[in-house]
Amino acid sequence: MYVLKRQSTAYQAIATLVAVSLVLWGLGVHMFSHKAEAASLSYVKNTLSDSAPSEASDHEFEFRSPTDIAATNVIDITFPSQFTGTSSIAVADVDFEINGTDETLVAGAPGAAEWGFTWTGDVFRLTAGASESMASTATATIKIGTNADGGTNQITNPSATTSYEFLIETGPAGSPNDTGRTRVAIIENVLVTAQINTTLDFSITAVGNGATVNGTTTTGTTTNVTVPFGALSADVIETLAHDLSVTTNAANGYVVTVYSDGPLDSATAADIDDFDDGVPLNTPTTWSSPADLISDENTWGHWGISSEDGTTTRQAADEFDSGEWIAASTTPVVIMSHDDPSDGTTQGVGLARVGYQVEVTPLQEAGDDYSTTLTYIATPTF
Amino acid sequence: MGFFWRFSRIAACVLFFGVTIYLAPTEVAAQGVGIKVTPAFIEELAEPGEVLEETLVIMNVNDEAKTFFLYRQDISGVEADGVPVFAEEGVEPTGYELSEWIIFDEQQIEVPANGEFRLPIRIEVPENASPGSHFGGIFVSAEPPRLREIGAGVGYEVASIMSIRISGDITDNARIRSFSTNKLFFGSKDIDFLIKVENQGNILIQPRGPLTITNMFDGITGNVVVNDTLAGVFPGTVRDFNVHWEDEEPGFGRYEAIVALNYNGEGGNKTIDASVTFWIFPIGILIPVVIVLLVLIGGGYLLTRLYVTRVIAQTQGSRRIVSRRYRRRAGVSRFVFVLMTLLTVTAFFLIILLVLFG
Repeated sequence: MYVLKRQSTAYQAIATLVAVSLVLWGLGVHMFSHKAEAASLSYVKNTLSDSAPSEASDHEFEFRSPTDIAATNVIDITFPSQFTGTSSIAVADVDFEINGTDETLVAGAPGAAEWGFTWTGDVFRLTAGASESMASTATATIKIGTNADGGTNQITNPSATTSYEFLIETGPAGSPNDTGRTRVAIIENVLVTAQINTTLDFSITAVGNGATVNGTTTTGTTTNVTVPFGALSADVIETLAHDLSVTTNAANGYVVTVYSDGPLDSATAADIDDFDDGVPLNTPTTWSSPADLISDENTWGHWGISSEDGTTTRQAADEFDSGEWIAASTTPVVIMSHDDPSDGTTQGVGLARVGYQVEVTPLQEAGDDYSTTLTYIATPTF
Repeated sequence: MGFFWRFSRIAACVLFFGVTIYLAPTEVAAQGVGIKVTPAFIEELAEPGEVLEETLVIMNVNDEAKTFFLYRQDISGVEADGVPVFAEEGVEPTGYELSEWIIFDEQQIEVPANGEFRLPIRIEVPENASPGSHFGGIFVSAEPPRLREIGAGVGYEVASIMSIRISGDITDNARIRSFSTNKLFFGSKDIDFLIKVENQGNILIQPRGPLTITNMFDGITGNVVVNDTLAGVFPGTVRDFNVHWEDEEPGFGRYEAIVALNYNGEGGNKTIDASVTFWIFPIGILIPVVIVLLVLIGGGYLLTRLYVTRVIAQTQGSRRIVSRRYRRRAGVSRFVFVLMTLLTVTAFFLIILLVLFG
């Protein structure tokens, strides 16, 4: 009875372990396991002369080993099997340099002062002769293809657009001391069959009275190059607008910035300050009336600008929402942008309406010449 | 007389409306003002001492003739999304300047209405020009008018930007600083990837390459090209590349995404790569199925227990022959039985999901 009970408990435990293992395997937990690996090669890279699928290409491997590669040791490079034409590579198509100095290469087994080259299946191997070695501080460069002196054959890239990993191992044959991996991307080249110049066309168009700009209605009419607020009344908001358009075939789009040469200045030295109350705001904020504090002339009037382009290169928190305004800064601020070619007519792509708004209080000094300049700059982006 | 009077009235009406229609103002489509430049982006390779020649075509988008002013400016860096930052006067040089290499004869040009001006430009690369990329721009500027009332005069400028790469001992060193997804667990194949590429060299690089997604069995389930428009990463900067991948096919389990980006470095195409893992659990399928499983298992257990109890009661009457001590031991076995059943069923369920969707 006791034996039966022990057996039953054991079976239960085994069954539980099996079930738990199946669950963990189903979740992919086993992928966390790491194999114990040798020390890593450093600065491992492979430069291709052509990365296009199914094209012939040269390879140039470079790496440093943390330990010496002693005499009779090997350097193995395992190519992904999708690379073809490796059987055509002869010793003349290979150069091996240590710190920029050419090493003597022979096919097959090396002599004492030589390195031997073989290619078996997907494995490219260099074998150090009895009196050859490579120090741990040295840089190894292996050229395969026409980039080798006298090289005529190349390796053909795989046909699929993806990346492929190469394994480099150094040390005694079959039990490497050090390993390194490098990856290459195989992708179609960007063909230039016809040169098309990049063009950028920027224009400003006036907007009339009664139009809508970012949730506000205009109270006057602009011209193409002026924003004439006209006579201002205390506590009355005046709003004007322009339409900006950009047409470009620049692959990465454009940006339009704006800057002013300061607040609205009068010849009397009075001014209408930047929104809000003379504290320039670059974060779009809902319009508020000037504070009208007798002790602070900055609060007697202010003006600002807005944009209907709500997706620009500005920080996400700084994008314009309806009814939000910023100060016209003396340093350029982004008012409009797009990250692709644009047509000049689609809102948010190549067209944006910008608004100008001003409000003064009864304390604002009298004057009919408060003015400034605004300058828009349109450029392509990198 | 009556006929003449009627005829006169009709003629007067015809004359009136005819003149009115003739003199009525026609609606004129709004015509803006602006500038068009070609090429707006110049990218060339050059040797020290070489002279490059270009022609900048400047078009006056305006119904009136316009005077434009021309000036050069260096680009000292870029902001997010490749927005060039133009160097201000007095700022310490970065080593990427080229404005002094740009030579053109005119400082201001007169362009007729809707006409164009062809501006010859020479880029004279000094013999001692430092290897690597150099950046600058030519600005075509229309000055704002002077306003004599309350308001603002509006000026506008368009820049043609240049990137000239000087051959020599360049430093091309880039890396993927980070590669991440917005979450670790997803309910479907709707993934946002963020790749931060850092350019530690002195040339403009345009990394581009495949982002490949594989499942637990190393099967490729997705492939997206990153930066197909060849956006540039300025020397000494980090640029973000956002990639979105989605697939209507449901997925399950652990996935790995590998991004490998090529850029044209010294000697050929170099690759930088990184990988990230994430899980997909189709919650919309899992939760209902788990609930059903729990109901089935729980219901099956209860029914089985009820049946066994009834059978025992029927065969033995109302007397309990099962000792309390035995029941406690049986309780432990029942717990393990339920646990094992749950785990086993879950395991097979996961395997089925993997086969179907993994």
